[in-house]
Amino acid sequence: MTVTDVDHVLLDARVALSRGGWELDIDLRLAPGGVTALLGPNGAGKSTTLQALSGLLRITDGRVALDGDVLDDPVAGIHRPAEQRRIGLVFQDYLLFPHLSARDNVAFGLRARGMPRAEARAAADRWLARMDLAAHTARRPREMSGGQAQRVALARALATEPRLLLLDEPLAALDAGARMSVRTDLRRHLDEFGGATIVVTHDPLDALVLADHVVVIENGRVVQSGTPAEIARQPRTAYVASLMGLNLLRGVARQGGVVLDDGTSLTTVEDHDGRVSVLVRPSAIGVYDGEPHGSPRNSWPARITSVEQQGHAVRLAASGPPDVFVDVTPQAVAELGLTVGSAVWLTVKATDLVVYEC
Amino acid sequence: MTLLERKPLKTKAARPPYGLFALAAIGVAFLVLPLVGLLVRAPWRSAPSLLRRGDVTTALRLSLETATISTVFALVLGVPIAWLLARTRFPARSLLRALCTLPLVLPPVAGGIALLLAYGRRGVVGEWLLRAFGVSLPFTTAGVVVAETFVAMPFLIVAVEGSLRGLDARYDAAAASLGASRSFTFRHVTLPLVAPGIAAGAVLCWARALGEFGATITFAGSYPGTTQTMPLQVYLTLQDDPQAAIVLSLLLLAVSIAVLVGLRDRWWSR
Repeated sequence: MTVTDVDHVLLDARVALSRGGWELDIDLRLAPGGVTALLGPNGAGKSTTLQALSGLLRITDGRVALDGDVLDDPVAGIHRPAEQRRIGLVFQDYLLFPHLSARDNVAFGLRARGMPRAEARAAADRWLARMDLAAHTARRPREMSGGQAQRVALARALATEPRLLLLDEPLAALDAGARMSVRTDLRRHLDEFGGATIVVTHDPLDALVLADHVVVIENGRVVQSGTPAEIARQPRTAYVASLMGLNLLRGVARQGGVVLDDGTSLTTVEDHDGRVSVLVRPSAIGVYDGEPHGSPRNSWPARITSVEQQGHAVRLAASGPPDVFVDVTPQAVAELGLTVGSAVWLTVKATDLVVYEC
Repeated sequence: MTLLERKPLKTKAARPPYGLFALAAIGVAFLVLPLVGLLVRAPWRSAPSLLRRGDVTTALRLSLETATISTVFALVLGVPIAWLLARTRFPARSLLRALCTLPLVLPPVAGGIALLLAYGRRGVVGEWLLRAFGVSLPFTTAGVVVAETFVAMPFLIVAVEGSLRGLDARYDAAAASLGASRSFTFRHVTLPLVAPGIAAGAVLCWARALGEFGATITFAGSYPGTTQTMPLQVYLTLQDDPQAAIVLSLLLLAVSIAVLVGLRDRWWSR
């Protein structure tokens, strides 16, 4: 859907700016259609990237071109203001105009372009009907639920027929109960929108459900990009792996195994070359109260540093080396008497290690 | 669950320390007793005939008209100043704010003299106005409006600036992302959202203009029918007919209260 091997590039951007010692430098190339997620921890530069793309913030270096139209080129002195970009933006807290009804919020962009009031309101009503809000056109923002406000904000942005749609943490303002259904709805509405969409999120689940391409940003840089499946299969950084609920260990391949950066070694099935990443599912790690003697090729002593219920499983954080997360059943926790500080032995079969060169 | 409304936790009203309570009570008495004095000592029987006197109705009409026109000028010029002070950053902004709100602390008489030096027949601007257009402001009804606007506009600027600062500037960003020009955004987003603040500022400004005395008498004089507003008439009446002055003061008080109450129902109680 995206990046290099496409004939037609809708967005071709290098967004670079620095503020007080902090630097952002992000390359983004998007084909028309499809949803791209910008995934990263707080402070990674995701929202700043959105603001720069939408023209609310000036980049100091790089270039932003949309559909062949240069919007930003600081070297050439080009900066098109936000109102001339035709880039829709849905804010994290939606920012619906509190003095206007849902209908007039959606009609706002059309009115701003000079469309007569009656015509703009009719168009707004059609958009609200598509968002299943036909019964709420007269409501003010303060009378709406979070999910309704989000759909009005989406309709407001889409009504102006943007070439590119930007969503900043679209689900962050919702409570957990509403998030699930709104997420699914949002996916459907984004699929109906023909143009390209960028969704900023720190929640991997949002990225996986909403996007067909994921760009991971850490510390102002792109650290990985690919389809959600690719990212989940081969995370490139510990942050991405932990997002996917996986353990990522780094090291150098040796005959029959890997010497990890912490000095310990793991036995692997296949031989590799050079620096490698080793991926371990937390549920593939076994926990023993004494040194085990059995088939698993890898075992090491560790101390439990945290115990947390996660759904039906219990996630343990264990300090080795190597340090890993381990998923066990509540029964195992009870039988082994696992608490913070417990000394245990961990095992993992060589066949459960996913090794790839990085 | 709605997005924007968060109910604050209800707590018991704080019980003031006794000392504070006593001082507050004295303060309230100090503020209210003069009003009580007006009501108690007013010659209620002769009041109706007094209020029908031609010079009284003329002065009242002049006061209402000039205060209203001054408020319109203050709105047209003051709202843009408030916007500049609240939304832009430039080095001399603090200086500009100080200059624009100076009339708040300047004694009105001094303000009137300053106005004469600027807009008087021999004034810096006034001399040119007279020569180029044959316009002379001092001692005319227009002069009354100038004096009242000068003294009252800062009240509006301060109120509107505060209101603009309380408004989330990201609404402007949202409007821009929808393709709205800056002036469209100002008219359709900013102005409606700060309307309560503008209304409050306009009321303060109007009330201040209605009561204006010092700058008016200095710059515009006290000519019945053209520049003698109610406050001036009250003061002059006090010299030879104190009873009438009391009634006129009550009339000013009644007009102010009527306007405050009327606007409160429309804007403030929202």
